[in-house]
Amino acid sequence: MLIIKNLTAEIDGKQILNGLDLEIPSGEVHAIMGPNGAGKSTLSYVLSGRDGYEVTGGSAELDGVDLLSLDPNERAAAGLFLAFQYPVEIPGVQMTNFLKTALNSIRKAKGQDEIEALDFLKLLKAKQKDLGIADEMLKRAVNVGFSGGEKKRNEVLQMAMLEPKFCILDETDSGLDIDALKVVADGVNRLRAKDRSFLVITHYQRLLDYIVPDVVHVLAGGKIVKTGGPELAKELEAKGYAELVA
Amino acid sequence: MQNLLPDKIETLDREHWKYSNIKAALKKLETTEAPAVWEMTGAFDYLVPSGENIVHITIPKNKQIDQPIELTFKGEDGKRYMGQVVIEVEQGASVKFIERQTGAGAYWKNLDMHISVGKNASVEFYRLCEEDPFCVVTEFMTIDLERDARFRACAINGCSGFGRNEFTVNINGENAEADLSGLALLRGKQHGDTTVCVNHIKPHGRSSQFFKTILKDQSRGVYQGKIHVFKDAQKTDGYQLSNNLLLSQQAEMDIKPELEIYADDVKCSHGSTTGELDETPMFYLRSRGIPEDKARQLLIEAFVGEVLEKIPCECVRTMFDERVKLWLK
Ligand SMILES: Nc1ncnc2c1ncn2[C@@H]1O[C@H](COP(=O)(O)OP(=O)(O)O)[C@@H](O)[C@H]1O
Ligand SMILES: [Mg+2]
Repeated sequence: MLIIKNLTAEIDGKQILNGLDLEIPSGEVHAIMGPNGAGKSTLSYVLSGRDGYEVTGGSAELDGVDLLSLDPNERAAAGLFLAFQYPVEIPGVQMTNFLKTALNSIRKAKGQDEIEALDFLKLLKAKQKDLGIADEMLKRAVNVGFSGGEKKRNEVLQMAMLEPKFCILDETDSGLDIDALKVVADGVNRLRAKDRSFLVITHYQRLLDYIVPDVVHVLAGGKIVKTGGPELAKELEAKGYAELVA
Repeated sequence: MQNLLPDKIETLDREHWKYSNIKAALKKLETTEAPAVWEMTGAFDYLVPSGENIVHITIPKNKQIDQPIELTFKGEDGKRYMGQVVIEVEQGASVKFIERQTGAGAYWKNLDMHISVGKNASVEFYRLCEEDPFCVVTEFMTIDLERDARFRACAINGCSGFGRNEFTVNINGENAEADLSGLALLRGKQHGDTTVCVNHIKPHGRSSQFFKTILKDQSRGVYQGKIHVFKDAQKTDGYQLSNNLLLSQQAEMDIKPELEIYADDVKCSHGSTTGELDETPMFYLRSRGIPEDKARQLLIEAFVGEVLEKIPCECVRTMFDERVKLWLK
């Protein structure tokens, strides 16, 4: 269970999050919608510990672990995963090596042994098949030369490999056509589980037709201004943010 | 620029040596002249008798040699060497060289290397410098290419106290190609200078310069790269890129790219970057659970990998990769 209380944060001295409260019980999928510049990506970076995003107050706990006091890699080991709005290209770091290093780092942090090379390949094969990811893609450098859809599928592949407890999807739908969106949504839906929760950040309602949330929140001006069921997303789509936020 | 003789240092072109104070570096050394002795493997069949301090190798017409010829030169404390290597690769021949520079103590190696590559001949030249941090190494390499000749070089400098490596490439025949790359690994107070000049004298030539530097501590790196396209050298394709990674706030990198173009139908480009490791890929890796040290290591290996992967000869690539990893530790 993720519990965020009265979270405030700033970038370059500019306050972006203004006392944000949010609770996401295990097994649930929550969506956050909001206009551009509302602070959605800021929230995801603050939770995952990016440099330059300074927390000035409040708390964020995942299953009782204080996330805000941990390094980004420790947060990943604690079960947090962020699917980036803009996945990062890393020339020279090969996909398979990257996935294996990430998985083993997390296992090590949890006090587990490194995964056997053969077991790793088996696991990877299974996950990559689900997402329609070709072997050839895994021979390339991380996200280098990937299409928009491939980058987002790659985020879901990493999520599937690392088996986090809490996943943030930051505008995973942006730049995807409907077919690519379905593949990604199916991938996420397969990962839904009793002991795993999701925060799906999106600007549009469309994604939520495929990843159906339990709860929808509206983020504006750096805090949650409204919370409801899936119907809230439809209402937002019809009326636009202006009316609701006002 | 030819061999740097001790009595000529006063007359060096100031502009050309702007970032590298050779006089000051040599002042710190007390040396006596000694003969330049090379250890060689695979070269005996091709040696041409010549004087002390000179190695002369001729690869006969159409000869194909797969196994790299190794030339090793060890420096000793208190010595000064004025060595010369002359390599002639005749028409249609193909050969690979590995030059290894090592040594212990405070010495000065001043080496002059001349390689002429005949019509349609091909040369791969790999240099690995693992010198003493107190020595001075000045090495001047001149490469003359005839029509359809191909020259490829990769230099790993892991480095001397004060090092200057110069490449002068002359594209003297049509359709010749030179591909130069290198990696300088600097730490402590080391000073590493790579200075390149490619002269495109005849048309349809291609040249590429791809040099990287990693700087730790208070080290200082220099890259000067020039592409000089003569009036007749139409359809020249010249490329130059210098990427440099600062791993310390006290390190410093000077870069001077230069294009001098007198032909009108050519394609030339240059670019350079100098900076610390990017925050964005660092954060991406860490967000996947990879600790900071390991993430840095991956990114630095990726940075050097781009140079190493340009080495087509696998045995050399593996050897260089090992040496670089050792340095990075
Ligand atoms: N690196 C940054 N430096 C300064 N301001 C930033 C930076 N990143 C985001 N902001 C500002 O923070 C606010 C929230 O941005 P963001 O979290 O990206 O919004 P969203 O993801 O909801 O579109 C915006 O006003 C934006 O201009
Ligand atoms: Mg955003």
